[in-house]
Amino acid sequence: MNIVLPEWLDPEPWLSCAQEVTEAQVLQAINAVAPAERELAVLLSPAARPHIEAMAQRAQALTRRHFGRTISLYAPLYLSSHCPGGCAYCGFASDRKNERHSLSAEDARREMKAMAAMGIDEILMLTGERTPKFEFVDLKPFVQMAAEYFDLVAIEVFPMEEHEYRQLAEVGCTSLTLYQETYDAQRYDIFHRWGPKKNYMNRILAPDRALAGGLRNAGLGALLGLSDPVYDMLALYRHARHLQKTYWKAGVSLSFPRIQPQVGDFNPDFLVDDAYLAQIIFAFRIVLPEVALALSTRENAAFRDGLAGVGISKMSVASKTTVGGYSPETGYEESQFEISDGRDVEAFCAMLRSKGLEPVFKNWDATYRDEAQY
Amino acid sequence: MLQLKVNGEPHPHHGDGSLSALLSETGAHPERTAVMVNGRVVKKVDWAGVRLQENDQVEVLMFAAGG
Amino acid sequence: MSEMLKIKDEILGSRLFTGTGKFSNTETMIRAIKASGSELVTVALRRFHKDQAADDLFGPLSELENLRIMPNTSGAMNAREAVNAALLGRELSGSALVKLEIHPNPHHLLPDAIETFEAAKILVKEGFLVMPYIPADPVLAKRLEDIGCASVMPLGSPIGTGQGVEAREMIRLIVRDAGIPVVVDAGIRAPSDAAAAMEMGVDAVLVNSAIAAAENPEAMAMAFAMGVEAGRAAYEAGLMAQSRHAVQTSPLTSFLSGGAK
Repeated sequence: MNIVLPEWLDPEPWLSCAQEVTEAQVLQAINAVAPAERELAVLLSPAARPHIEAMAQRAQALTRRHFGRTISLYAPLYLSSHCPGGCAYCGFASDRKNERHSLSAEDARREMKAMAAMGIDEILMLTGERTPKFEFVDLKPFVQMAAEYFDLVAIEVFPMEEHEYRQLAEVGCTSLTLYQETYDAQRYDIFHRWGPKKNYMNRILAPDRALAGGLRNAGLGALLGLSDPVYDMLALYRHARHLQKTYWKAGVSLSFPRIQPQVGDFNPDFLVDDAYLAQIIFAFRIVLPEVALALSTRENAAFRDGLAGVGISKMSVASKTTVGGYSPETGYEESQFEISDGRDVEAFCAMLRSKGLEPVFKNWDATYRDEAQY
Repeated sequence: MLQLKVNGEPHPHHGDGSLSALLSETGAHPERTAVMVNGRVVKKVDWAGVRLQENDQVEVLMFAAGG
Repeated sequence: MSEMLKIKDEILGSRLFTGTGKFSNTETMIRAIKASGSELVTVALRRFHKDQAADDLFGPLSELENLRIMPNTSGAMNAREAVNAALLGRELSGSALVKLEIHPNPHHLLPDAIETFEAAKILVKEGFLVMPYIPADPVLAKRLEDIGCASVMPLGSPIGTGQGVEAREMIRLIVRDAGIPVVVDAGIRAPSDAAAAMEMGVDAVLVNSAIAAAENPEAMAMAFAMGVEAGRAAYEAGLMAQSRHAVQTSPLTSFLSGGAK
């Protein structure tokens, strides 16, 4: 499988910038006026690690400049755990022996009501890859329903065509989250053993299609641990810049999922420890100061507390990664990954406030907005 | 004789009413001028088809210094 | 030698564009343009008059090699007038290049963004390579790119004021997200201003007043050529980042095992 990465995505030319980095280069990168790939590579290198405190200081200053002292909060809702995919690292791969479920419309409404009652105003709805058990036609009514309860409706589902994204935008979908998992095409092929997700380029271009179809925000990410993090993070940066330039009226946000143990035991080849994950996040805040950076409940409480407002501007809260799970009636057991930070909304917001951060659930009212503009 | 206005000034035209005749009266070089008749640009390829009428307003323009 | 500049299908070897205004005489202007190495020069349109036939630049400019003439629509007060000016310019130059310039106020000569956008829409449809002169507004720049302009020309500072690249941060934002060439026009006073603009990643600069009003325009034109080349070469070589003083506060990374330093 020989995939040639598009020029706008290929991180190859900058990989060497992360090698043999001097202290002076690190300090310059931290304070760069117009940082780009080269600065990111420098900040991702081992040479930057001893300067992590300086990186954190700068990351905090930039986060405050662009986001004030606020943290945007959201919560995920798994609509379905049916998945035909063969992703080696995922608790929902089709060869994992666990029961799969999908929410009924009634279930979903109950879940959404429960989430809204918690104060959530941004929902992220998840499914597996495309399967006859959960198709586009099944997704659309859930999006429509979510738009009744939440101002920001994000989806992290199978890649779709532009006209499908447009239809979702028209019924209230505002954002897309789609992780490439790894940008290393060869390793991508190995991890995605079978299923629709095996198509690397189709996934790469899905955020383009989503924004062209009228969604207002694209959330990108790579699953840290799958491949060389320097490679993946440089490609992630390039992917983000491409979307910013091409869909200049849309927002781009980034997440940093890291492989954690889950029901399934997948051991990552490239271990990213806490300090390195923090370094990555600080590096991105420095090179993309105005882009939202999100951290989920995959990470433990102490880590999340440390990063809130220091690079990170967006966090999930009180998440359930089982199908449904917010209302006592839906008690399914299979989960995509384990939650490390199980604090409820109240406890989490109290923590944020103790750090001088204001939790923000709702950014604006959607009532006066036109439908999709593209 | 046609009474015309050329570049804002009255201009008695003694030729056949064609643009080339008018331009030679003004001393302008056809290759180095662009022409508007009654507020509309006349492309060079269309010059041959123009017959000026009484009181037509013609602008004859050239490249000049300017940023 | 740095990469060539591409504006749609036009390929240019020089990133210094020059204007023809404000020179004391035509010979000085021609010598300066030659010395600058510029391959794109802007001209205005004026009424022909027998007694001022010597002002006609067509002849003198055609003696210069490898030079594209880009008429500007200076003098136009609105979109309709600018469109007419562009059509007239094309008849004279035979090329599709046009500098779309609409500045209704005769004092500050700042561009009218709204009329410019309207004119650009029409001219792009008419097949022009539209190079609009604009305030340094990143949103306006993207909108003009969206409708098919060949480049955008944000002003560094008002025409003739020589204040240099005042709109630095805005121009950086334009450059960062531009998919078409960005040419800084207006306000450049010294070769160092031109170099500074090029170092930001700007694709070319247009210089008129600073060359024409210099004591020795020909020498100044050469200096500008060097400034533009230097700035571009520096940009392509990858500039060292500026340093700032770090602020000492309490450590943020002590929560990481062995993280803080």
